[in-house]
Amino acid sequence: MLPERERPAAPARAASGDAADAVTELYRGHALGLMRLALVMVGDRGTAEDIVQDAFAGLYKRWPRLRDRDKALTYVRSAVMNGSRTALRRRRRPLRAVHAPAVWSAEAAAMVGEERREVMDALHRLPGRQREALVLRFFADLSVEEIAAAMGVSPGTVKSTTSRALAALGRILEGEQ
Amino acid sequence: MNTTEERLVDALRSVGDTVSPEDVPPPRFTERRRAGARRPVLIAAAAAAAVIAGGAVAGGVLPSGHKDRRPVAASTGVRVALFLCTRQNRNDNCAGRDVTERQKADLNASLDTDRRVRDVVYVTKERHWEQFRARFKNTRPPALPTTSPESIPPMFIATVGRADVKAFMQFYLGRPGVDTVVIEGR
Repeated sequence: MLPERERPAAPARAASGDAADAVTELYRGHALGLMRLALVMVGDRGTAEDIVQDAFAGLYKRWPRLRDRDKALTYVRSAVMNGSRTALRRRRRPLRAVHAPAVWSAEAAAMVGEERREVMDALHRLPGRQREALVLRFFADLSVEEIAAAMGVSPGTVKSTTSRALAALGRILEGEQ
Repeated sequence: MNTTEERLVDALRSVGDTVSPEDVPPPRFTERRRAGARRPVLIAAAAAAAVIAGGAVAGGVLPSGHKDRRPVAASTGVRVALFLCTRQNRNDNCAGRDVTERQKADLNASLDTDRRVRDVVYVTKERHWEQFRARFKNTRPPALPTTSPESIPPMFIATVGRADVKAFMQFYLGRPGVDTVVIEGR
């Protein structure tokens, strides 16, 4: 969570235009990467799209109160991870929404291939935090500090979680061969 | 043999690359949030849930083959809806196919002999659509942008004792022809 403070009041229209321009610029530069990030977390494109739109909507709403706007991408990336976590949690409850099968599911295996599907299945058998750490490290290619900011944990926790997750993933994959 | 890291990077990139730049929609963050602003795929289940939440199923029309079903209005207990598959559903259990007559008959027989079920009513797709339209008659697009008769499922509404609800839902969730199982009013 980024620190916030109340900013001096500005003319509403000017502030709104400033936020819209700035957040639109950020969206143009990063929406694709964030949609891909959400997709590998939740599995279906529609949900991923909603998560990213919600994350940017949250950023837009908070924009006038953000102290450090250079960290806007960190904020929105963290929101995407939170949104993914929430979407996965909701699916475990008996349920109210219809989701498309994951892009690595049996129905859609042709899109990614059988071996990759096995890896994705194994990844999604890991505990949520381990899965997030691996995705942020090996897909988003973030530094330990950036992963810590996105997950809201310490750098030390990121290192230990990533290490344990990779070992666990290897064990699952070995067991399937 | 590739290492675990290499396999993971390869799999993640392959999945990520299924989204191309053309798939990114325009930003919606400047729009006012409103009901129905999300993607239409969620609409059918949500709309159906809203219909049963409104109690619109009491006295639902009973199709042939389910003539022994009685309206559930006088019953006590928790009302649980079994949404049946439509070709709009792409979850593993439905795979884009309508529930078959055989699957409906099997579910009907199972509900008949299920000792947890105090009462049950079957609501046809057509009846459910009528109820849906009546309930949302004052709602204009785009609040319900793509809802169509095809996206509204037929369903069984079972009345179950409160202590049996969880086991009942787990038993029917994933059965052939069942899209999902929800508690009325939640």
